[in-house]
Amino acid sequence: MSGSKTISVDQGAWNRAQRSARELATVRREMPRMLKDVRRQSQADTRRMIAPLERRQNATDHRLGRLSAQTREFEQRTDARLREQATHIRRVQEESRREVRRLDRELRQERLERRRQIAELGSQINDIIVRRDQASALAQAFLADARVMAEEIGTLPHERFAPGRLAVLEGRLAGTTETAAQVDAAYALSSAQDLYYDLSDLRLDVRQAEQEWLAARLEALEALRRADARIEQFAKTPMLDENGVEIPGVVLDLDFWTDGRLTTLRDEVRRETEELADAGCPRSVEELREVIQKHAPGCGYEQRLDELLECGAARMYAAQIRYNTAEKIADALGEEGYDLVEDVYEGGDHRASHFTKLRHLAGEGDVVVEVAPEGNTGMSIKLLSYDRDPAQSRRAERTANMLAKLRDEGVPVGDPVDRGTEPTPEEADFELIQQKRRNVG
Amino acid sequence: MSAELVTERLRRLSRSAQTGAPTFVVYGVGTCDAFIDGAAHRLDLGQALHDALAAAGFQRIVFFSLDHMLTVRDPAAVLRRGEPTGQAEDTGSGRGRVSRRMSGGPMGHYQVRTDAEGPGRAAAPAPTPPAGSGRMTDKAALDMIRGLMRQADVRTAVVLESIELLERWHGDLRDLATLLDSWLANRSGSANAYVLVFNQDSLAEVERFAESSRNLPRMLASAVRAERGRDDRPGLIGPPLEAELTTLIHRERIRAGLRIEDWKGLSHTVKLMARTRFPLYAWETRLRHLASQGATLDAATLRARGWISGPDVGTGTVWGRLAELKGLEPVREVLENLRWQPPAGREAPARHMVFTGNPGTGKTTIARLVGEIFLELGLLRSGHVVEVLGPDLISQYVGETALKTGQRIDEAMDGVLFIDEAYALDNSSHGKEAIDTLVPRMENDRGRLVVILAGYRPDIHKLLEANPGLRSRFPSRYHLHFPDHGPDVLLKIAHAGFAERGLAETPEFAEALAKAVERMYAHRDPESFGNARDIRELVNGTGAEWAGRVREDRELPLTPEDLPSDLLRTTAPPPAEELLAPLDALIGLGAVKDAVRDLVGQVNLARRRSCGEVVAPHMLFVGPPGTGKTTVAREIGTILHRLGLLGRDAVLEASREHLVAGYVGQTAIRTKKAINEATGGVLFIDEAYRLSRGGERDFGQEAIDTLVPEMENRRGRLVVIAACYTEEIEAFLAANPGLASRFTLRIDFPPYKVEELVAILRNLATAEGFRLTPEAEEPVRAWFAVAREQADFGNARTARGLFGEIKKRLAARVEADPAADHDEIRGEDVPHAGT
Repeated sequence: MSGSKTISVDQGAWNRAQRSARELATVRREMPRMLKDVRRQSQADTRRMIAPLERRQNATDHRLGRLSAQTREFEQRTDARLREQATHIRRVQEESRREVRRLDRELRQERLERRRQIAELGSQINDIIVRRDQASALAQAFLADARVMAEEIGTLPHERFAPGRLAVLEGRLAGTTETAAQVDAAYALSSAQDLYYDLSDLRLDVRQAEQEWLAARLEALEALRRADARIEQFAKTPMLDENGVEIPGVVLDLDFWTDGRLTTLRDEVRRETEELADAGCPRSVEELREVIQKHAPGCGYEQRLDELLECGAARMYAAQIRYNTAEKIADALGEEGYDLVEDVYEGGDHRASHFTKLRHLAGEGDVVVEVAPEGNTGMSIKLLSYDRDPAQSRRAERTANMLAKLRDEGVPVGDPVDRGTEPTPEEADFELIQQKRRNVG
Repeated sequence: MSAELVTERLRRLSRSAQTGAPTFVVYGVGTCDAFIDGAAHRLDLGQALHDALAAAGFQRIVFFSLDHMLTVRDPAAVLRRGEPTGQAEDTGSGRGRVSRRMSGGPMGHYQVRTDAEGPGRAAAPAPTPPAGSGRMTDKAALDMIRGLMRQADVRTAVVLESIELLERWHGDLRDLATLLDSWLANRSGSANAYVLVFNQDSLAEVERFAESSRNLPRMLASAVRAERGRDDRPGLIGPPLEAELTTLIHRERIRAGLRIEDWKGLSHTVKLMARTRFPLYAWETRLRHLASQGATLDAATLRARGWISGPDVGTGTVWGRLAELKGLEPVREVLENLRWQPPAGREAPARHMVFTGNPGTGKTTIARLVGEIFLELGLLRSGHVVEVLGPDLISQYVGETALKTGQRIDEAMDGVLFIDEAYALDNSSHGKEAIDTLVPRMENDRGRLVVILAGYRPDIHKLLEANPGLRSRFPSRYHLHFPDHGPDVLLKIAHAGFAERGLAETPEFAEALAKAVERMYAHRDPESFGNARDIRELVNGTGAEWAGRVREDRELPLTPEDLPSDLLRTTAPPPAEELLAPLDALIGLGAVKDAVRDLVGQVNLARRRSCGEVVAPHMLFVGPPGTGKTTVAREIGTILHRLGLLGRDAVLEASREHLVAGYVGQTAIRTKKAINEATGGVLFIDEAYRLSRGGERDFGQEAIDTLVPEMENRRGRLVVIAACYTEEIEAFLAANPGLASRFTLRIDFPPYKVEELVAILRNLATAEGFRLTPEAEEPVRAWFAVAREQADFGNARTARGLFGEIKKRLAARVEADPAADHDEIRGEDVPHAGT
């Protein structure tokens, strides 16, 4: 039998600690301060995104002032409705979304009705041939309105939300204008009217799509910011005991105990946030919806965070259990006449092995005990004897006594396995041990 | 480790251990107890010893016992235990504690609770450790001790736990003995020490064990000797004192939710608890039980559960209670003066006391108060009173008396050893053994022990006279005499006694009781009066009488008839004629009858005035022989008893032979014995002049000298009637100058006249059914006329002699003439005058 032994420790005993680790993630859903911060950020996002739209609205108002009397009121009503919709969109709530859809339905209905009335008016004119001049003027007015509308649409991100549709309508506008120039404009009245309404519809579509995209972006941003806040919150979190009560003064450094996986998660969230916050964000509404889905409470990021929490807490508990075991071993050896010389962590890292050096009071020599992690929550014990007089029977007896005491204290240690070699002086060099860098990750 | 944190009961040991002595013994009932230290932590003896030794400057403390063999405790552990987190508290015996100095894990020293019931544990490949493992081998332990004790740089104490077990079972005893002995011999100036823990209650027992030890004699003897040499027995661990119990209570209040409502009475309750001398763990269990039941802690609750007994210690300060003591002014003054102590010198003054007085005069009560006073003054640490009877210290077996006495002394350490009936120590070689054990302890432990001897005054004086060594230990100012309680105090005790039994008193009863008590007091024997004890008897007797009278109707109050009849004198005495009826048959005795009538009159007057007490007088019966002195004396006994002037209807007739002995000193004993026997009734000394007749060298004089003071002392309880012939009376009274004045009633028994003698003869005849014919009276008269002139004339005795003669002659006559009336005495039956 040599002076080095390894002793395995059954891992199944830490159930209680594992439960506590799981509990850690679930008991912290209430975070009013965090929600307040997130809301403030969202409001800032909203203001930032809405500002250019509002500036554009002034130009729009000026342009729509150039419309003929017959369409001006029609467009102004549509605008009022859009604004109403926008206020709901900004609230970014499911309820608002329903309201937006309702408003949209009403708007479309209203426009159809209006169009029908105007079309009727046109057909009446058609019937009265003698008033051709009048019809001709009306067609010219529609064409002018269509041009204003096309110009207006040109200021909108129509290529993003209704790609190609404006070009088609502009082609039709050119054709109709030509026809009206070549023949009596009165003959082009119907085409001009249709053209105008198609342009008007396009404007509405683009505006609504833009609003919907903005709303989705805002919502996605808020979800991201919420996730970020949660990550921040859990980065340093008080530990709970087995009864779910905070252990005073004990804080779980989540990034440390997950070997930096928290930072990875946070970087991911921040990258996405930056992307979404950029006005030129290329994501579609559907893509944005996916982001929202991913960050909704209980999904995606949050699950990942909970996993990290559970894992980090379990590892910290396990490290403490390892330390407790080291304490028990030291106490057991203390009863065998040993006194503590020093104890260190490999590389000064609590995640790594713990080393205790004890010296026999009556000068029989030193013992070094290493309690090393095994996997996330397991451990193994290594016992190195530096006896002045390496009497096998004393060693065996000492080990047996120590193991018996550990078992008495509820540490499920197995039987020692002899390593077959005497321990080297380096293994007892605590300075060296402390300088070792642990291979994190 | 601050000394204040050391548990109270081990502070003396801690102080003593600073001296650098090589051995200490620890013993006493407390060695099996739990302890509470100054910071309210609960400790076992090991931890408590550890703290005490750490405070004494030991840097390393090693425990050596059979079950754990060797345990090293770390002094720093104690310091940390005081930290507010208190995580280390109560985590078992606290062995080892090396870990307390480790750097801490990610969660510091927090202990993660692992799931002991979890499947992991069940599946653990942990075989049951073989028996005997889990501890060092004997040899390894001894090597360890040897190594540690050799080191002079780290001050080490080795505590040998349960020496008795080690001595018997340790596998390597020879090595242990050698180790200890060689260490004693070559300590090489190190300040290391061995602490030997014994499971014995007293040093005497430890000593006995040490003497009988075959394996470790030298070491043990040396340790015991060292302890004996220490003034204050630092190794004696007693039961918990008030301070420790108070801390325990507060601990249970916080931990177990023990309810306390009477905060003012708490110290009083604690005092009662401490007096029981129960171990701390017993109180802990009880307090938890109370807490679990939601009961409040107070004296009444503890009493109801039978956890405290004995008399209450009284409320208020000890000085207040002292001031309330009635009738004990001299005693009170001495005790109050204890408060103003002169500055203490290097030598502790002795405070042992002698209490003399009759039983029931409050000696025990005062002894308890003395304990409390010394406690209050800080002169004793516990102030408890160990009460023993002198005879209980004595044993028939050689050496046993010293052991018994030693045990009781150890029990009383820090308190008061109250030895009642101490005179029992006087009468044998065993008594001397007890005194020989007591005296040195009284001297050596005078700072921690107060011994009070109590008993009857003469006996105690005799004891002290015979043992000058003992006497010199009691400062004369602490010789306190307890007078008998006055009637008012006795009456209060009686009222309290009835109230305690829930018996109601009618006003008539109260009045009768007052009289009865007064009578009891007046009739008491000053040398043996039982005081409160006798009152208790009175109360018990009265209660029994009441119970017999009321039977089922137990709400009925006490009435005067329940009082013992001999004390009940509320009714008028029987009329003089009724009392005198037995004397009627006697001829003459006019002076006797006058004297009795006189007494009846006095008793009646005193009764009507409801005050004063008539005292039965000692009497001198003077007269020639045969004049009825003895007969009258017997009747007087009955009459005085019926008048209520004497407790008993008893007459002890004593002559010189009963009182006087042939050797020096014996007469007084015989006389005393007769007096004691007669007390309560009449001592009739016939032919009293014979006591004084022997002259100065005769022991008769001793009898008279013994008698005279007792006649005064027992006035009212004993009536001495001395009978003397007329011509001897002067010589008798001259034998002692006090004698004449003691006899306040002299009754002369004149010689009978002829007619009276005839009447006596007639009565004698009538009594036997004879008839004295008138013609026979004349020769009778003539016969008496001649006989009376003779020097040896015996009056009634002579008349009885004549009657016998007459009966003989009558018998002869009837024999000769069977037809004659055999009941009739005729003239011819009477002898002639002068024959």
